[in-house]
Amino acid sequence: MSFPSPELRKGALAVGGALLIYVGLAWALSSAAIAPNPVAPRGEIQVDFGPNRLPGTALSLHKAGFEYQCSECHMDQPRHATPRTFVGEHSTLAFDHGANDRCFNCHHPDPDLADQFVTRDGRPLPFTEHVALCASCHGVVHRDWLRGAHGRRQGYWDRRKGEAERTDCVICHDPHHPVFAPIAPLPPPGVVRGPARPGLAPHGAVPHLLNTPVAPVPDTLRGPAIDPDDAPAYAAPHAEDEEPAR
Amino acid sequence: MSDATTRRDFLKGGVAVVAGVASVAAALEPLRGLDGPPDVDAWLQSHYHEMTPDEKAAAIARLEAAAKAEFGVDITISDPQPEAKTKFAYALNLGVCVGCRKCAYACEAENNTSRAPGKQYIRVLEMNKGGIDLESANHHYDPEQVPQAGKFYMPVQCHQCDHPPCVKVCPVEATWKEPDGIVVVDYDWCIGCRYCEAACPYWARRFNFEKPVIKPEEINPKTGYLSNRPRPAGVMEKCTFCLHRTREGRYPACLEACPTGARAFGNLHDPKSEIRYILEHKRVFVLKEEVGTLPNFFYYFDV
Amino acid sequence: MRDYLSFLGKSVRRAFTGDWRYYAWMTFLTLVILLGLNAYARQLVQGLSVTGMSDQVSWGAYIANFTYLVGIAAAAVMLVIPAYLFKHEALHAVVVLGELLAVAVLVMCLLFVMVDIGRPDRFWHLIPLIGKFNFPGSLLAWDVIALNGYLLLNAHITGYLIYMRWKGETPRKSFYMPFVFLSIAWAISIHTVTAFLLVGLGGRPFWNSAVIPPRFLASAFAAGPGLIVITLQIIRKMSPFKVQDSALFTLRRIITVAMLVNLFFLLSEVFVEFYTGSAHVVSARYLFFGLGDANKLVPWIWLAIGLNVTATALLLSPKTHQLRFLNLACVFAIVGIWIEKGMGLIVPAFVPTPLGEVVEYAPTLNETLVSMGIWAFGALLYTVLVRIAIPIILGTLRKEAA
Repeated sequence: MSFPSPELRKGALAVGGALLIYVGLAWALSSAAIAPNPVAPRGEIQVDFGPNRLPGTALSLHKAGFEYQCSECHMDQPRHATPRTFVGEHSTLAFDHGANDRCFNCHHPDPDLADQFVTRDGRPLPFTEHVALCASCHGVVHRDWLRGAHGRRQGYWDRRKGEAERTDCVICHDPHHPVFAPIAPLPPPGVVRGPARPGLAPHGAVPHLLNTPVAPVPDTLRGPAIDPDDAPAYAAPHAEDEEPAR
Repeated sequence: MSDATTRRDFLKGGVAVVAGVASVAAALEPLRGLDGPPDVDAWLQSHYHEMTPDEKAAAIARLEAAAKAEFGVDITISDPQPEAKTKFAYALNLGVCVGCRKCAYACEAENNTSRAPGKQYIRVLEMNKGGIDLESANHHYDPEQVPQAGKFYMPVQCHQCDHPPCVKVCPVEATWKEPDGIVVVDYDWCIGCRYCEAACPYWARRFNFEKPVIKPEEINPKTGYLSNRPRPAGVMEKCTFCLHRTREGRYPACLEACPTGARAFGNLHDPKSEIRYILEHKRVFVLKEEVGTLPNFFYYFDV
Repeated sequence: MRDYLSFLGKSVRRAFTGDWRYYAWMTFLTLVILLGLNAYARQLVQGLSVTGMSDQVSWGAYIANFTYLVGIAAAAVMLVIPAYLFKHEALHAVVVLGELLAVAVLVMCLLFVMVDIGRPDRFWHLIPLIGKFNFPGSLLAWDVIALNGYLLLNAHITGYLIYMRWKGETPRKSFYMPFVFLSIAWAISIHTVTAFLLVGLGGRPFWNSAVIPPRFLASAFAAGPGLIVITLQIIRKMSPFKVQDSALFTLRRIITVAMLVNLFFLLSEVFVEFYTGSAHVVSARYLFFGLGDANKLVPWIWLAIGLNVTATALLLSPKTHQLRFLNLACVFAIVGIWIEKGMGLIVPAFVPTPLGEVVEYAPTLNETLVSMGIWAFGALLYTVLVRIAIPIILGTLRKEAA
């Protein structure tokens, strides 16, 4: 192959050279950007397999090791029909059980039966029967739990070979605050090559709408919140005071 | 042809041969990094299905000795067999999964997987509420706390499909579906072509690009031949529903680790099993139904 | 038998002699091969982690080169059909050279598969009867049969013809014509099977498209004859072998048609992906436009498209009746299709993973060296084969009369 003119040869050399430079650059850039991440053993990771109950929600004296019965205090305490902020022994309780926000929805209002639960239809239940108490509202969840579709299990799926240990409601759920507390996730898996990237932008429009914060709606199901220092509605010693703050 | 030219040719040839051998030897120098000559017994070992009981026992003894030599740990390798009228299935409640990744780490500890990045059998995907859009899934979410607002979490592991594409494509039958539904790998038969890894629509397989990285004190000594025994380099591995546990009647490690009880496992042939209850009473779905793999891993919601 | 041994002896002797250009070329190739061997030894010891591959992108440069080279090997049939079926005189003279190219390229294919597998020591598991061969279930098993069968067919045809020529006898048609016909069908099959290997995977939408196998064939019938055109011109320049221009221009026609068909298929594919706009388009988006900061293949694929379009335009213009423009067009087609049918076909199927994770791939230096070593080995093998074959075909090297 011989070039007829030196100009054409120069042109061919220039095109060839430019092509080579382009390929070389693309190669170098793509290889350099994907340096392998070190493949090294990862540090110790503490895996805590306990349930996610909120910390610090036990009764304070009880937590300090005292044994007592509810009735020891509640034999003559006034009974409040409306919810109020907890004081004293109950001040560390985190309370959020949905619409179910009266003590006596679950605890028996009768001072003589203060050491028992009460079902929705008014029957007293001993404290040991807490599963039945939860089930009186959460029927479907209770059914799922009985059949193994709700709750934690350990041990044997094959009952001929061994027992399955099943946790009951209050092992995982704080009855006063049954929703799990958020927990810290264990570290992401990592990648051997290149940076770990987040997901791509979602296809649909709906996720964007879902991510816009909504204005808080007042919870009309609950009664007005009452300042603990104000007198409860029952006694009404300061009836002439202004309306309790919402 | 005179004597002188033959001698010169001979000398030239000799020099060329010496130079050739020397340069090939120099090129092969890295091979000195191999740990000793290859083990002939291991090299000639038959496929799992063709081993006699004696050969299997010998292989297990050899593997246990190798683990002792490498990690200084006394491991036991059991070979539990599938039971009749047993077919395993898994169900996962997306409504309660919080995305804490405890399942992935429990799996890692149980199954002696490499601690190198990204080797876990279980991937937990963080997805945007409003759809199951795998492409927008975040594998590397790391907020202070989970669950995050507007997100839900979907752990994915081997679905033990009834039509497993990975089994279909293996050129040497090194991976197959057991009668109880678990897709296993013969680590001593796999040639490492990674065709199964390309075929899996759930990205459930992991390849040992090099020897698994694991500290001796983190080795789980109770192992199964087809599941969590220490793996060599250059072979494929995957989730086996912890068959060394589940064939003995126990729950898989990931299920026991789940703090919210999102996971359920059982025998499809047992009408009273947990899994049957879920399949009959919950609206379950499988991931990527359109690829026709017929998974035995079901997702459902109850909230 | 004595004859055959003396044939082999003469061939080996011939392979080791030549002028300074031959020695320089062979020394250069040997050096590259040794570099590749050294890199492969490192890979054997440390494992495939010395490559750029990962669980996310589990096939890379090795398989990309493999799929490309399968196409080149299959393209020998584009010489065989006109030469044997249509009795094209000019091509009949060079058909053996094309078949020898297929032999060398198939050896490269097998080497690329060999370096890609994690346990090459267990290669015997793949041998039917001794190992466990998943046939007909696995397309990889089909591919093993297809490639080795095609290698044997071509080795037999060329070996027989050259040996007979050396002995000064007329080849018996019954000894090679059936195999020639078989090799025509077989050539189509090696490429089809290799394409099926990829398109049969439902979990990889980028591959799972019926247009890929025909497109595979079209691009192979462009790049393969393109490579043959270049090699024939080098042979013509470097040896006394006469290659007629009409042979080259017949190949030019074949390449032109194949390039046009290839571009049409590319257009169909791109249209379906992007106009539909389903979730499956994401791999194609990665290939052509990149996904955010993940865009390593973008310059490559546009380079490939540019090269392919330029090559097609050149081939369609009367310019390529001049050999230097034909050469240019062939080089463009070879490189363009190498990018498009290699990395451009393999890597995007893995990005993102079936679970939506975006991890990129680029070959490491070690991996590149191994690949270059295999290419150099193929070039060396082809040089040796041609070096032996040409004097025998020309009749300057033959059995001494007893």
